[in-house]
Amino acid sequence: MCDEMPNIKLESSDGEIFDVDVKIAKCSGTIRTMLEDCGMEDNVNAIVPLLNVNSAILRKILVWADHHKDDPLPAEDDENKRTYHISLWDADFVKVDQSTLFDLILAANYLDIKSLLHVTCKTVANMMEGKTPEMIRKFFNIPNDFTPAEKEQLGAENEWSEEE
Amino acid sequence: MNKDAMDMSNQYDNSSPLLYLPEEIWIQIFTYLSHGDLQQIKLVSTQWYLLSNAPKLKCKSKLVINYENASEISQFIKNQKRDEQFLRPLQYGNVLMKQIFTYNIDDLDEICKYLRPHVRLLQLTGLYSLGNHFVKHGYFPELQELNLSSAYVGAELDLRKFPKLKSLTLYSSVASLLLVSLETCQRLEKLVLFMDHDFGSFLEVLDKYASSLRCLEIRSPSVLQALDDQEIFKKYIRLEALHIKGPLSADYSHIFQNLPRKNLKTIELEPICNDDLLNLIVTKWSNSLQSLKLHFEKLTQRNAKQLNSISNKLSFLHLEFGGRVNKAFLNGIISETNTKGQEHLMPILWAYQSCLHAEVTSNDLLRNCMPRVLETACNHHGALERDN
Repeated sequence: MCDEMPNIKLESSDGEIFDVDVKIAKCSGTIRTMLEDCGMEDNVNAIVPLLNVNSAILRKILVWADHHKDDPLPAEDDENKRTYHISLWDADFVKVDQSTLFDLILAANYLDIKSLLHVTCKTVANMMEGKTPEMIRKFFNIPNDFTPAEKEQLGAENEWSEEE
Repeated sequence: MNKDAMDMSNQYDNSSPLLYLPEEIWIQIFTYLSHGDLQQIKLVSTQWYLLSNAPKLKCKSKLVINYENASEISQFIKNQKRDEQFLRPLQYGNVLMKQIFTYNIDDLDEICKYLRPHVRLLQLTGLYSLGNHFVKHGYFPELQELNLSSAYVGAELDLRKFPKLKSLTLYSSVASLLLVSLETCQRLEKLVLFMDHDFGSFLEVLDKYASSLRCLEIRSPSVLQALDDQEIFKKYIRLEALHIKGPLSADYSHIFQNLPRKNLKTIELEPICNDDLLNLIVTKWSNSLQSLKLHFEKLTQRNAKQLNSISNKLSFLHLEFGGRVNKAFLNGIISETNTKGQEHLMPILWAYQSCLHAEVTSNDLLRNCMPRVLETACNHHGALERDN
C-alpha cells in the first residue's frame, strides 16, 4: 500500500458529500468491496452513494474509521466475545443517546465495519446486564406481550436450565 | 430515489426499538450476554423469547434433567402440546441427563420424544447402568456430541442410535464395553479419551479411529510410558488438533515424533514442554500450525526465538510458565514485522504466572502495547526481571 492515497467522495442519504481518504473509507467492508469490484479505485471523481447513512451518522463513522484506520482486519469468528476488550477511546465514542447508538449499529452493519459493530452491540448488551425483565422493558420501551400462562411456563423453563 | 425515505434517523422516537433494529442484530447483541442475563432477556417479550432460541444463543445454556424434575418436565411438555403454544419452550440443543435409570419410564419417553429433533449435545451422568429405558427410548438422530465422562455405562448403550455422532468423550474402560458399538461410528471426528486402568482398550480405541479423527484429546492421570513404543500415531493422517492433559512431568515427545507431518493446526499440551519438543513442533508443523498452548518450566531465550519463528502464522498463542520471566524474551516472541498491520490474524499471547493473567488483543499488539500490558501485569506481582 503506498502512502499517498487518493481521496474518494461518499454521499450520505441526505445528499451531503464527504471527501475521504481511501484508506479511511476502506475500514468499511462494503466500500472496500465496491471499490475493488467496480474498479472505482482509480476514478478520483467517483461518488459512492450510501443510501442508508445520514450525514450526522456518517460524520461520526468517519471519526471512528480515522482512529482505527491502521488496525488489522479482525478475526472472522471470535468465540470469546464476552472477554473482548474495549479501549477507552472506543468506550468514549459510543457514549451517545440510545437512538444515535442504534443508528451507529445500523450503519456499522450496513457498511460492514466489524470493530464498530462489536463495540456498539457490546455497549447495548452492557445496558441489559444485571437488569430484570421489567427494568429492560422500561429502559428500551418494550411492551410486555406475554399472557400470564406463558409467563409462568417460561419461568419454569428457566429453572431447569444451567450455564454451559 | 427519495433520499428522505431512506433516512431512518427520525423514526426512532415513535417506535419500539424492536422494530428499529433487525432481528439478527438483536441476536448479535444477545451473544455478548451471560447465561443469567439471557434468562432475563427471554422474559422481556415474545419476540425476544423466540430470538433466544437461535442456536448461537441456545448453546450457552443447557437443559438439566434429574430425578427431581423429570416428571415436572414431562408434565410441562404434555401441557404445552395440549395448549399448542407458539413459543415452543424447552427446545434445547444441549442437554444433561443425570441418573437416567431413576426416571419414570413414561416421563423419559415423553422427554426423549419432545427433545429428539433438537438435541445435538448430550451429556449423561450416572454411576450405574442406563437401564433398559434409555436403550428403548434414547434415539437422537441429530446428536453430534456425546459426553460420557461422568457416566459408567454398559454395553447396552447402542451408538447406532446416534447416526450423526461426531464427537465422543469417555473413559477407556467404558470404551471397552462399547467396542462393538464403536465399530459403527464411522463419522467420528473428535475423541476425548480418559485413560484409566484399561490400557488395552485405550490403545484399541486410539488405533480404531487413527485414520478418521481430526481432533484427539488424551487425558491421563499417570505418565504413559507404555505409549513409547506405539506407532499408532503414525496413522493419524487427518489429525488437525491434539490436546494432551496429564502430569506435568510426562514426556509425550514420542507422539509428536510419530505423528505425520501433515495438517496439525492446534496443539495444546499440559505437560511441560522442553527445548527439543518445541523445536520439533515448530519445524515439523511450521506450515500448518495456527494455535498453540504450551506449558514451560521456565521461558528461555531459545524458546522465545523458536516461538518467534512461527508466531506470525498463529492466531492463538497461550503460554504458561513458572518463575521469573525476562521481558525481552516475551517481547521477542512476537516479531517486529507482525506489528505493522499485516492483514493476517494476530496472535493472542497469554502469560500465566501463578495467579497472573495478562490478555493481549490484536489491537493492543498493533499499538505496540503488548510489552506494556505484560510489564504492568508482571510488575504487579514483582515477577519481572528489571534489567534485561
